[in-house]
Amino acid sequence: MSSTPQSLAGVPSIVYGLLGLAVFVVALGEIVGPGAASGRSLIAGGLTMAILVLPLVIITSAEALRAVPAAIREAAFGVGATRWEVVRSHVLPYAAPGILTGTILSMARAFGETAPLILVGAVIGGFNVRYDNVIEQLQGRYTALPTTVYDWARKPPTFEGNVYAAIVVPIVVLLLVNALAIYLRNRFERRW
Amino acid sequence: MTAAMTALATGSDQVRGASLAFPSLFFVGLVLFIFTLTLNVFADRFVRRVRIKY
Repeated sequence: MSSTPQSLAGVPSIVYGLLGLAVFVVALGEIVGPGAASGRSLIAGGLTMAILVLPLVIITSAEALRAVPAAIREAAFGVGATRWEVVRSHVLPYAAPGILTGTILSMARAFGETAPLILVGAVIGGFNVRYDNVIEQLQGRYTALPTTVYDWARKPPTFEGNVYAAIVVPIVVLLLVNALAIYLRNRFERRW
Repeated sequence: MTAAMTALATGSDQVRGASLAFPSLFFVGLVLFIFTLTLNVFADRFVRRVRIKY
């Protein structure tokens, strides 16, 4: 495998935030968040996070696919399966737990990101807006829990309790997600 | 550097509007990117040299 995804996975997350700022917020701002949001919309943040985790997903998936023994592929080819049939019915099922675990863990990484979201324009601190439909919500402003925690941590000490309380939520969710990943891996793992 | 960039971005909520904040944001990001990229390239080269081929 080429080293490009590996290098991209090592790039600091804020650089992806810059990418999202340049591409989604500024260049595609009219599509992504027209009107008052001026590009800094939920969908822009979501796309940025997607790009952020993409290299990680690629690496873990490639690793899972490579871990499938060559004997399985060869046996399938030997029976006369086409390339797609081999991938579809042999390689993918065996690689699925690895791919799934990698995806879940990458998602867990995206969950705690703060800096790129701040760059891409998540509202810092809480805000209270009602959106009428999903499209409007996707194109409207948004905030994220880590961003809120960041904001509270900079505020005067009255918010200290809030910071500690709010940071417990991501920790618990991350623990749950990682536990789910471990459970899925143990459940679907096969030995040859 | 990440902290500097976040501070820059939060200082003016309108990152787009500020005259110098926007370019400097990208400059710091570029420096950070080049920094990590060179580190990655060197690490990759090192791994390639040291890895044992079976």
